[in-house]
Amino acid sequence: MITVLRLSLPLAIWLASFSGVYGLHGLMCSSRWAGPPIGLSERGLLIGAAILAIAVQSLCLVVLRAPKWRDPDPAMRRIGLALAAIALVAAIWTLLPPTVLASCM
Amino acid sequence: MNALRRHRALSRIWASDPGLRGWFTTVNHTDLGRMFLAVAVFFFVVGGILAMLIRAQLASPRSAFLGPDHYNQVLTMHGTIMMFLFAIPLFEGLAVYLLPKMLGTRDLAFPRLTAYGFWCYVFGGAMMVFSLLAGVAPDSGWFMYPPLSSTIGAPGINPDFWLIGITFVEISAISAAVEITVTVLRYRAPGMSLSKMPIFAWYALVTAVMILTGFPPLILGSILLELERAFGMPFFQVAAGGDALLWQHLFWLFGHPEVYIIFLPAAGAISTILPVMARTTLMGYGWIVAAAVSLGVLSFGLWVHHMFTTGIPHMGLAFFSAASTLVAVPTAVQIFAWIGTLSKGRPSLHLPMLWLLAFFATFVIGGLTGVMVAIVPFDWQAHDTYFIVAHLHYVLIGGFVFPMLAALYYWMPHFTGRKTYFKLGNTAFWLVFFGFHGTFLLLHWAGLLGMRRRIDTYEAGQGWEAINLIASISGFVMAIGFALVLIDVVINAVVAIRGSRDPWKAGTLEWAMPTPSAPYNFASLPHVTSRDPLYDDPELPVRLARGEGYLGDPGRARRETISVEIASGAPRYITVFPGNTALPMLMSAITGLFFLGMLLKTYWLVPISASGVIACALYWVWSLGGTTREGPLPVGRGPDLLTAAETADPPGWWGSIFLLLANGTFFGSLLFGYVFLWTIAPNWPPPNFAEPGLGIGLTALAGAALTALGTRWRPGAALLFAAPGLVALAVTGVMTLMLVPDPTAHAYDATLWVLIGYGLLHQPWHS
Amino acid sequence: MLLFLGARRQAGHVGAHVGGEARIVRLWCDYAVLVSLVVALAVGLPGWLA
Repeated sequence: MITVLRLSLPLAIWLASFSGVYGLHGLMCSSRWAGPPIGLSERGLLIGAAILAIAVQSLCLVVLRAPKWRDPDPAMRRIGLALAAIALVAAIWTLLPPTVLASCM
Repeated sequence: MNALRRHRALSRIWASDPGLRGWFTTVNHTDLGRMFLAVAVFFFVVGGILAMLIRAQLASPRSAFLGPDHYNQVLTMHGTIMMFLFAIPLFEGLAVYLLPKMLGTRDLAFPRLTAYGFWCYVFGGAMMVFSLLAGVAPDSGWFMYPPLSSTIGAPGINPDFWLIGITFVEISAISAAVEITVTVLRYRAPGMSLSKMPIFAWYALVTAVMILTGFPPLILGSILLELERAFGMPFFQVAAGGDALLWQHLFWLFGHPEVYIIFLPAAGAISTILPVMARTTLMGYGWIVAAAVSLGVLSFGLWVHHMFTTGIPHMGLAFFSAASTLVAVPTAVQIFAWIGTLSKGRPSLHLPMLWLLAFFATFVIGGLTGVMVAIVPFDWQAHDTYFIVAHLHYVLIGGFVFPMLAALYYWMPHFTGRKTYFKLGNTAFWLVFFGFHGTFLLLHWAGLLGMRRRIDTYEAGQGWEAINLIASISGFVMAIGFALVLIDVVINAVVAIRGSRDPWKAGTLEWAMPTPSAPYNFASLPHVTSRDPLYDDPELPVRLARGEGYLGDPGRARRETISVEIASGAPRYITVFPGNTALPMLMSAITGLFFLGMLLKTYWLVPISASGVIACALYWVWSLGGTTREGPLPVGRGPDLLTAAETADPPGWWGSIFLLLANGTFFGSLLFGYVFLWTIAPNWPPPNFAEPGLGIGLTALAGAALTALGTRWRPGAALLFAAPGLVALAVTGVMTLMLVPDPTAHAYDATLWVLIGYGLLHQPWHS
Repeated sequence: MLLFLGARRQAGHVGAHVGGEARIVRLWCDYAVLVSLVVALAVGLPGWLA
């Protein structure tokens, strides 16, 4: 079960952070449909949330490489690291550009 | 005991009942897999005939071949049948048939559940086909958007057939997914660690988990829409605090992962067949596994790209555009790994290989047009045009049907035990290949010229006539090709000469048995030390037949196999499977009555049939396990093992975990709907919303604490504390429900009804 | 489920005595508790926010 968790954790974190940051954007925009566009402070909060998610994703990659946590099976270890790397790329690619382009139009 | 006597003894234990009775009582995965595949092919033929009707109608402008009403039914049913009654069940059938054989075990984890799922599929599919024959088939498109599918847009029974029939069929998908997940994780040959699993099993595992998390949003959407249609609960009506876009979110939360649920099994077949055809081993096994797993997860972040034109804020578009382009990366990883495998080996152009080459040529085009429509400005232009129709057929036919035809020809010697006769298959291949591209390549242009999808006819003079005529003629060429494939299969199954075991010289375990396979698969279970056991030990089949593996002694005269540790594949316990029974078929028939009662609005039938299903389920579970402790039993090799009933993590524990995953996703989707409507819909909640007092809150907390502690203390305490705790929770639910105003007046109240009703479905049942 | 498990234990089913089946029932009961608490939160939230 630990092996399955190791494999699924990085992408589960990506899914949670993607949903979280997108949900945060949704909550912000829902109060601004008829009002002014979201301001610098709100945009900063979104970018901060995205950077935090990327940091957690990077930490996950580091933890999966640590001797205490890594998989004893070398093949599964490589697959786990590949998944963590993909999840990190996914977090950077899907969270940062959209939050920089913040707009509720 | 010699091999022949062992074979006879095991056959007596594992064989299905003889004659017609055997069809209804079998729980054997080989029989049920074949039955799944045969029914799926039947639905493919029905869906294909509907496609030909569509092309006949669109061959010329202002055609009167089908009227608008019939056209809408035919179009809706074509998509519905191909998606729900052909593609998913075909994967289920292939997995049900192949997985235990590839994994080196004797059956799937829950044989009766396989049978129950199969019969739900048959009865649900029959319900859908009946609607077509009766002229009341769903006609709102296979996506069933409200208000087209609400009582305003479709007052008849047509959408109810879809909402109820598809929910019924989805029981089959969920049960097969639980089955596949537990089987792949726990029912493998001893020694087969996760990293030594055949690649097809990885794909099946990812697909099954995707079904468990992808289908619940659609089941929820179908229930909500049916509640709106039947009882007036306005979830999707803007005037009453609902929102039609909620349906689109729930539908595409399922609908986009669905594309990968369809593609990934095909990719699993490709990764299995391609190295054998190229006479080498698979390049980049680890990368392919990582790509499959990441595709499975990333595909849940793309659903909004089906809704780019619905007025989503720009930043929302950016999120989903980025995620949609990203998904091309793991797809490309697989494509490059397959190309690398081809370049490493010496490919032979057998028929399965031809279909794989057709896959490459077609799917890559479909993938690239997919990246085009992931870009928002292009999508705004191409949305709802024939460009999208062409793209999705390139992906689905190129990415699923072609690999499945490769799989058909590859595993046909296994199904039939006969040598394949390929000449007719070659002709069929070229007809399908050119027919397909003649149809759908041109339809890209029709879309770019502005031809909208779903229209039943069009005016002349817009530059679409020649394209549509050629597309229709090509469509019929493709249909002739598919007909030839069917004829070829029948010829192979009936008149071809007996073939040898492992005709392709493959390395996976399904070829380590005589074909067609015996009902017990392996006379004794292998110990696996690599991904291609037959390459390492060509004598393995003979040694297994001699009983030199695990459980080679049928002396205990019952259906036994070994369950293993998830990661290492070390033997864990002996599972004793149930024998033949008509219970799954009976239970699915009663489940069918439940859905029929809902469909025909004969609501008195609903509680009666629900009680019948519960009674069957209780009888089913009661018959599990025995009343005698057997202690550790010899298994032929290694240490003695306990039976599953005598361990703390029996198969039911793992089945429950994955069933709860699906159940939790359903609940999560419901909460998503609640939050979505709260943020989007005006006047939410309405001024007179229900406010449960402190008393109800404290009672609920006390009930929760009693239940949680009661089940943990000691066995006797469960009934003393946990049962009253659950009853207290149920009482608070009923009291809150009584505070909620009319659920037909506002979507908020309707949502509370569903939320509390969901809770009430859990609490009393558990006590 | 709890009553059913008790009946199986009374009838002497090995699985009900060993603990595997009790573990399954506990899993489902925990889920029921979780659902109840989340539903209570969803129902009470508008009132608390108002």
